[in-house]
Amino acid sequence: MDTGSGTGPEKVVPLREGLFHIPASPDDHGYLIGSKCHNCGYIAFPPVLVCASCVKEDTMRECRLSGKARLDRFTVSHTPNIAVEAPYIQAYVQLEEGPMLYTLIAGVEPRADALQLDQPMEMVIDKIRTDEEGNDVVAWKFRPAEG
Amino acid sequence: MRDVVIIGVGMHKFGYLPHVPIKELARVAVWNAIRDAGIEAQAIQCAYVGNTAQGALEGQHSVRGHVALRTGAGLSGLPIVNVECGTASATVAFREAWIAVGSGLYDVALSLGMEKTTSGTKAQRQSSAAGAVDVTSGDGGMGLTFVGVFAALVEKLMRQYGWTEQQLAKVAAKSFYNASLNPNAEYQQAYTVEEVLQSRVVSYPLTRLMSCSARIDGAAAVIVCAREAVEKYTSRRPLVDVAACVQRSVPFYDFRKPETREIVYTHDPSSVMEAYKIAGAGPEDMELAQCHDAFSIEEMISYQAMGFCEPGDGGRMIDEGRTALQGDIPFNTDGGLLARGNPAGATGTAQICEVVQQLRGEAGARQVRGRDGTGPKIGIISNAGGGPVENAIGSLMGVVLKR
Repeated sequence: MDTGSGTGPEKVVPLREGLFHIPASPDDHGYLIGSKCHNCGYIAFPPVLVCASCVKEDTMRECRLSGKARLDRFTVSHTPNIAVEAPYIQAYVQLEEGPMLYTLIAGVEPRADALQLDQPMEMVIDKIRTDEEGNDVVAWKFRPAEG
Repeated sequence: MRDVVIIGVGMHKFGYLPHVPIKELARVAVWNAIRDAGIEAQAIQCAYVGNTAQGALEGQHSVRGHVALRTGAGLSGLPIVNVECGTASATVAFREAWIAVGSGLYDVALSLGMEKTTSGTKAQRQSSAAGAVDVTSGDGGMGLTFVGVFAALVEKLMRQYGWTEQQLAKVAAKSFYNASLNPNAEYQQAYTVEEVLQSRVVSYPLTRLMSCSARIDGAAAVIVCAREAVEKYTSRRPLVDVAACVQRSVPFYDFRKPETREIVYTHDPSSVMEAYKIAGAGPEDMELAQCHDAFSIEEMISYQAMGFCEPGDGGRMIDEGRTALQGDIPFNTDGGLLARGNPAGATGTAQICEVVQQLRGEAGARQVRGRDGTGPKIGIISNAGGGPVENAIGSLMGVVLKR
């Protein structure tokens, strides 16, 4: 991914702080940041402050998520949105660590036959849109897993 | 808790009403309810006001209910509480009024839902709607829309249960027909199944006419009274009992467990089931039902979530006409969120207004007959507010009313 570093005043900015790591170089890998309960093992994404499963105080620790997931469901949306241009795919994926999350899809045309339910997916950090200052706003997306 | 009864209901017609200010919506709904209750306005001792968007769209924060009730409805001096909880806002306001009277602190309480989404800019409206999820999750900033959430769900359920686009369209056509018999509804026109299917695809497979309008205004008010104090305030009859009124927030779902994935968690049944239990009645006793159907698929999910059929049998329910006005369990008799309209902050009290009118036998052309033909005696309302996503935030409501 072109991170735009050093090429001008525009830069790469995360959609939200603290939810994912943006690769700093071509050799680096992006990942989602969750939180894991060291009491019961529950893993949350986005990270939570207190474990919703065992509800004990001060058990959650930040953790790096694998980005491996399965496609739970999706739809092709035809209405333009403030955040993204239509048509686009809105989808839910379930991470192998458990959490179910909303995501945009990368690497396929926005068509109903482009994806299969339950197919393996993998996370990429990708551009969502350009903001008012010309920066690339990036976040996670999922694409069909290779192999 | 003392027994609490509903003595008055009133609405301002729902619809695209850009020329009508929110305080006028509030005035009409509140005074229709006061007149309906047959009380003096001064008899109202406290008020709860549901709204979701006026802060984002008109910059009216913090004291919305106070402004609307003082400068719109003319009510001063009484305690007023603002309630905000997505589409459940007005049901939550109603529940607070029920608690206030049931506790014995007050005899007469008002709940009002009011909403105006024809104000503001498109960006403000989208931002306001996207604010009903956890905004720190980033979902809204990545194009998540409620219609998208439900479209993705319906596609999955169509595969799982064999539900068809035709059945989704039948549910919508039923709602438009019911709305065409309701002078307070947004839609005053019936649409055929074909017209629903042929309208623009918003998010596949949901079409425009399977989705509620984004720009809509309206207000609905409900006045409750302690049963033991009714004689003191009004001679209005029949009274409608609040047999159960349950609010929960969304429970924790552990997606590590495979069985969790089988739950249709957008329509968690726990509040409705608890309401049945408290009312001492079950789905088999209900003679009409209202549910959260911002999208027609939600009504089919609600048939099973509210205990009227086995999982997956929603398609057969609509095909057999069981939920039509003449069916054994009429659903969304006023047109529901889809066709009566869903100005979010006003929806909850509008659902209550409809069930009260049906129980009193005052629903006109859309009046249902009930099991014995003399009109319904008991009905169930389900409502929900907030983001229907996996780390779900929001309220689940279940209300049983009877005469």
